[in-house]
Amino acid sequence: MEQERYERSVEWGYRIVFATGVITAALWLWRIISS
Amino acid sequence: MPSGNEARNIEQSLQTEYREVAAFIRQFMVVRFATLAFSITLLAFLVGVYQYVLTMPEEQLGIQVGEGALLRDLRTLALQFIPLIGVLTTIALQLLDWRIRKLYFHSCLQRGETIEKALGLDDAHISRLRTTPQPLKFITHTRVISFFYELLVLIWAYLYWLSI
Repeated sequence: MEQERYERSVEWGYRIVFATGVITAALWLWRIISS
Repeated sequence: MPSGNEARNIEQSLQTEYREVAAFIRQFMVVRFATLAFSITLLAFLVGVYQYVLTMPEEQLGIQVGEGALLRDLRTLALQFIPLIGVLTTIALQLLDWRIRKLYFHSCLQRGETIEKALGLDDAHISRLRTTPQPLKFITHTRVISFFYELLVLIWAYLYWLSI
């Protein structure tokens, strides 16, 4: 049970890092396209 | 119920697999930290180049007659693409770590514990990897590595915010 909870938190950690990365990349890409 | 010979063969196979699983655990740990070290080195290099290009004086670009325009174009390209390359490589390396972590956990730690149970080893090495107390009750390799990747992404986001 504790292991499952840890696994879920780790997965969410990876998702958050991935999402912020995608948003940052999209912002830089948008700047290239709009310039 | 397996006969004596069969039981011995199974035990030998499990012991061989256990050694392989332990070797993979070591290997995966090395790869994870090598990937993280590479991403930090890459960030330092790209930020260094970005800063160099950003602070290059305009006059320096026009020194070589005929080459000035090309250098200016390259500068514009570099300022646009270096941060994008930085973020995309960080995402790629983070995805790589995500995958390695899944392989590490599912194919090594879980399997290792199963083998330990099958061999009748209580509280053995691989089980201890999981049950060893964590510093501050929540610090693990995975969380610290994820923190580093988040930091790398936030540095590029901060540069974006600075350059608005």
